[in-house]
Amino acid sequence: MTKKFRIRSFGVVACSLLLGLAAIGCGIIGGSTTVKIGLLSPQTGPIAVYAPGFEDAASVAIAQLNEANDDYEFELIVANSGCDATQAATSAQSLVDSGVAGIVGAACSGATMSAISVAQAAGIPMVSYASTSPAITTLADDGYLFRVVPSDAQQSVALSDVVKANGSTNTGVLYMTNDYGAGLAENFKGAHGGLCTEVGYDPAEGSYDASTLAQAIVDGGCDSVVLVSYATDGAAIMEALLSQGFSGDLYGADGVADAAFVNSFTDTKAVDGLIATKPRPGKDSAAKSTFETAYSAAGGDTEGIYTHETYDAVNIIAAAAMADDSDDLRDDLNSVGKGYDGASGSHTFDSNGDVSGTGYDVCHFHGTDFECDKIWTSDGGVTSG
Amino acid sequence: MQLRLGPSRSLELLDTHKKTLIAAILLLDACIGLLYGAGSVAWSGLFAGDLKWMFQSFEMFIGGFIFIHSFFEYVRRTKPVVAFGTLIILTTVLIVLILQLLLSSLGKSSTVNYNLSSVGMSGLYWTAAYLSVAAGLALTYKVQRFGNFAQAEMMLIGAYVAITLMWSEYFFPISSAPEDGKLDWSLLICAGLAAFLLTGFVGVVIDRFVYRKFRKKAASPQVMMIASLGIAMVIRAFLYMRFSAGTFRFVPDTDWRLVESKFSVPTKLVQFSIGDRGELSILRISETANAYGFAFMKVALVVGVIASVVILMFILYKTRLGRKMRAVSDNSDLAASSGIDVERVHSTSAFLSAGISGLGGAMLAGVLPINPELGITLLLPAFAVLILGTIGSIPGVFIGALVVGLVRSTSEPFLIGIGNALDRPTMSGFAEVMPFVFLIAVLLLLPRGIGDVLTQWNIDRMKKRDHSKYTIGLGSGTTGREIFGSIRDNFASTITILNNQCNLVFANVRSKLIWILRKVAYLGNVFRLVIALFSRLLVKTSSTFGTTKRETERGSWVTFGILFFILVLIVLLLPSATALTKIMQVARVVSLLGIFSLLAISLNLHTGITGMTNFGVIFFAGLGAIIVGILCAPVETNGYGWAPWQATILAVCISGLAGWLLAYPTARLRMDYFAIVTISLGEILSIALRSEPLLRAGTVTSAIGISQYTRPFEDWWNSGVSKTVGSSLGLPGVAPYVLVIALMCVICVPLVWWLLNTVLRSPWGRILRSIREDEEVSQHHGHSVLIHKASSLAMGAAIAGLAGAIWAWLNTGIFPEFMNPVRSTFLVWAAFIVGGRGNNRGMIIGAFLIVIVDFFFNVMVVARGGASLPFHGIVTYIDSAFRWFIVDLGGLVWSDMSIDQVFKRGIITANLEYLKLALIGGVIVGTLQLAPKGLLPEIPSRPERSVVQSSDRGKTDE
Repeated sequence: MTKKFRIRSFGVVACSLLLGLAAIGCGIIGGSTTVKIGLLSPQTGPIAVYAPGFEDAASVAIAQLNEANDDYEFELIVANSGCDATQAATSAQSLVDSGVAGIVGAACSGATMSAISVAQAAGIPMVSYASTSPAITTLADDGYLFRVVPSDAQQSVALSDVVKANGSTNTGVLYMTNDYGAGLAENFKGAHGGLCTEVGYDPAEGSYDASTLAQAIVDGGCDSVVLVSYATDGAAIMEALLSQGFSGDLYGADGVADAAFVNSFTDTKAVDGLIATKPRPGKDSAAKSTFETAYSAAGGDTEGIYTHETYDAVNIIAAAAMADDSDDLRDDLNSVGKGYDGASGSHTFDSNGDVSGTGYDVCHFHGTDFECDKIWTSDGGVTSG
Repeated sequence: MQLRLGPSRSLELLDTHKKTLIAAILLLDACIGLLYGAGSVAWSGLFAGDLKWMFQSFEMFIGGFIFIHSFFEYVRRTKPVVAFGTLIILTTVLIVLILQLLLSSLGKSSTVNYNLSSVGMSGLYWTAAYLSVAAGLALTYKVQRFGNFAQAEMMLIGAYVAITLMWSEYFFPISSAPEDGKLDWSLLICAGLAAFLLTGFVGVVIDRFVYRKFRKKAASPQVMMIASLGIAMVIRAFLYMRFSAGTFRFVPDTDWRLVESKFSVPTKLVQFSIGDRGELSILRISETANAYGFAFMKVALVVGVIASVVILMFILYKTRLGRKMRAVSDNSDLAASSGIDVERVHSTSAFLSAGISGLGGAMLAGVLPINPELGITLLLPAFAVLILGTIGSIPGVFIGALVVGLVRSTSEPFLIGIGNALDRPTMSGFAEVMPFVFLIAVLLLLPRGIGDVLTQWNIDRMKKRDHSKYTIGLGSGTTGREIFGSIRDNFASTITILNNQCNLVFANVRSKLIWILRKVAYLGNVFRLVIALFSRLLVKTSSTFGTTKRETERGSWVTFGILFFILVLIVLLLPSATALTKIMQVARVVSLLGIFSLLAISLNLHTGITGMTNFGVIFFAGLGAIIVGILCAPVETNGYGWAPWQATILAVCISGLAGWLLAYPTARLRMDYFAIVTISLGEILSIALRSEPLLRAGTVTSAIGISQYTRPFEDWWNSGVSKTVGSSLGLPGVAPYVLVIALMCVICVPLVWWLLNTVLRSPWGRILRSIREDEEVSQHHGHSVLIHKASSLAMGAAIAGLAGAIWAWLNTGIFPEFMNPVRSTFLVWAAFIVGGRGNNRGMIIGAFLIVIVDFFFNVMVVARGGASLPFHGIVTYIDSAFRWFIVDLGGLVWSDMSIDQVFKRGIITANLEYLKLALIGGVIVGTLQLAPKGLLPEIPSRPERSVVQSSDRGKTDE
């Protein structure tokens, strides 16, 4: 019996292997050209919370692309970056193996930096939608790495101007000790000068006590606080600040600058009065409304951070693939990325593959109402837009 | 007792006089250094900038600490409690003194704000948070004698039970009711009870199906601990798949979570000024501080957790059941002989320990947004608490949690103040690892934890008093009994009320539950049948395959060859788009295989050969990676601009040195202590990478992480070699650099393997094995256990350091996420267990399996994207099975709302990444159960003496 069984199981294994091989052979679908676009999404790891948002935004883009272009068949291939260098590089390898034309990703800067070494060697460009680390600007990527998010340096100047324009003098900073938080806080300190106190914390749940952080601001005698956080930890800290009797001004960065930030609170009183900056959409915000309509129709919350950027990154790669003027998609990306009006702003890639952005919206919460009535630009400072 | 003291005495480094002399020299040298910029650190010329004062402060701390240590050794024999108290005070004074010298020499000043209530309340909060995991951990340890890695997952299950209950049709209206200024208790209490019972039930099931089998085989605590790691991985993976990585909060009633729902605790603000403080006095008390707000939900957490621990103590020390449990924990054979049903006691203790964690989790979910990641965040400090409280003592763990909670809350304002003065605002991040730092400091002084001091003190106290009146433990004596009596009555009446309130719900749930249980029982029977068939098959094949043959040199090689060939075949069959991408893919597999093999070989040397349970693989690898990265980064970006080969040699040496030094404080620690100390070191290094500016390089703005470092042979490769190789491989362009790394691995792994095998065949290797089998015997034969452990640690650490360096080159950047044990240490452990402990061939096969599984699952993840990709059908099938499980089967238990809340837009797909995690965890447990020696068992140096399964026995540390 065992012998028979063994032969049979061998047969099963062999058949499945053959099937797998056959499946590889059938990669070509007749009619339209298939363009595969890879997405490195942080499905595991510290920012796994945001992964569904990125993936949904990318699918919305792919669906629209397929509707608009009959000659092309776009496929979105998602792999897990794990917010980890090793995992991201292995996943980039799997994307490359499946024959993608370009990769959208990754989110965490460390993941992006190791994934590009794989993509670059295979001659495939990458467009990051969320890596804000300044290290990416100077990376030796042979021109294969682009990003549609501005480096942190600018936003910190915007924040500093907003704080000054609002008349706060003795400002404390609470920030996450990850590349986004620490980078922004450091640049803010450079732009703003003397601070009341600075406290870094690890945004993972269970590793910080919001009350202690709030108390540090209160005991330091600060008249205002700049919060560089994501939504969940930001809400917890703001509730704790109110609970500890802090009555000064509250400022936040793009991690919390969204109407849906209110949903992270259990006591929505605490959000009142928050002033926050976020990258400003381009002049032609048709793309923004197109995206947001489709995205909310598909059931997504437009709250998510970097969803607009993901949408843009997919579209830019698709446009470059369709343009196909040269053999190298990298060159097409450079020509597409000249004044490209996307959902997250007008993008022009510089020689490092960075975008400078078009200034920042200055928004604030009146009660739970969210309103962006001012803007910040690099030459005009804070003006009422 | 005498035996244990033996090695500890012989491990004393130096005699007291020499020690005092060295301490005095260190102190003097450091003072001169800090005050006048002179001294050995300055003269050596090795250090510049911030490194200089860091080393001087460190030197001063070491000097002072040696003094304190000798004082402590002197006093502790006579007055342990006094000694411990003065120890804490003296250490604090020493730290303040160092900072005073340092800050005034730098011309800076720092103000530390101590808000007394904030510190106290925050301390209580951390106590409760840590205790929610640590109490169950201690009970498991007490009765079953192993450190349970799955305890934090029990806490998570409790949290999710509470959240699922909140989403149920019956309770949701309560939790979302509008504010009315009144606290509704019903959901909170029902959730607490349900979390306790259900989590307890899960605990019993796991105990029955997993741990009982290990107990039957008389498995060592080490084996049980690793099995629990596998179980933790499986549970965490399922929680991720069911509840996603999103955060959810438990809101028992809107009023509970309002900002006004707090107790206002009056407080005083105490301000310390250190350093160049000018006119300011050193200590000021400010009267104008606002009252501190302690949220109601935190009160519920603190009260709930502490009450459950008190009840647990009552059960343990005041009831018949408790006596049984203690009897089993003392000597289970004896307990069985006096008519105690040992298995039932084990089940009860599993129920209680899981239940308490579940209850804690439900309460914690009301304070913190919960996601499955929280488990590991709380597990490690809970282990620290467990050790401080001398593993397994419930009063000890309570005091341990209190101390650790307070240490954490007092260190935070201190770190914030000092950090701001030293231009290191991220320093407050170190508050997170304070429990570990404190633990390591305590273990240096008291290798047996705080609880030991307490027991000593208790014994002394009792010696002085009348024996008949007092027994060990809290709550003894007449008054205690009265109090407990009234508590018991109140408890009973509360239970009745609750019972009435929850009856309706439970009746409904019960009928559903019975139906499900029937189904489950049926499914279980089918499953059992399948398993029986499968295991029978496995046993048959393995016996024909030759279990005995695999344990000979030749058989082992043949098996290795066959398995290696199969795995290579799988690699060649992995799909890829073009020839270039296939070459890249194979090169990456080879590189990762090399890195993981080296790490597994290092772990094998530490754990498989020498018998030290090392959970700090990533600590040594991280050390290697960070040193290579920092030293090779360009000078203008905070690096040192070294050549890669120089940096590699230094990295390997420093990793080795770290291993050697680690032996001194840890060689006399027990197995579990050693495991926790090593895993804590990894955490500390990870936080340092996040927080310390000196560990950042690669950008001009000193962003977090290390990047832009030069890699070996990179210039040579780019100077035309890559083109030649590329054309010889038939590629259109240049060959990728990853080939160079793969080649380095191909050279390094066999070389290290051969070197290590040569060394292990020498008498030195035999001594290491004898230490593993029995430390005392080796000692008796005149071998220095310390020196051998140290050299084994050093050698393994050096190998791991090399692996870390190669890893750094492969990743091109080092970020704090790199240090995550889930992605490194635990995987290496899986490779170690599956491959076969004590056999380096097994390490290669184990590492190969881990890497292949990773690639294979990636192919599946990617396959979801396109219908044309291989395995697309399988993935679709898995998704539909998962959907059936969540909606059709699970829908009987949980409400539709709980599905909609997690799976937005109704898209229910299985996250294959977590499926992989579950698979790896399951394989760990399965291997330990079915083939405890792994695929390639260790080749015994002499024939087996008897047929008794004794391979696991000798490792017990008790």
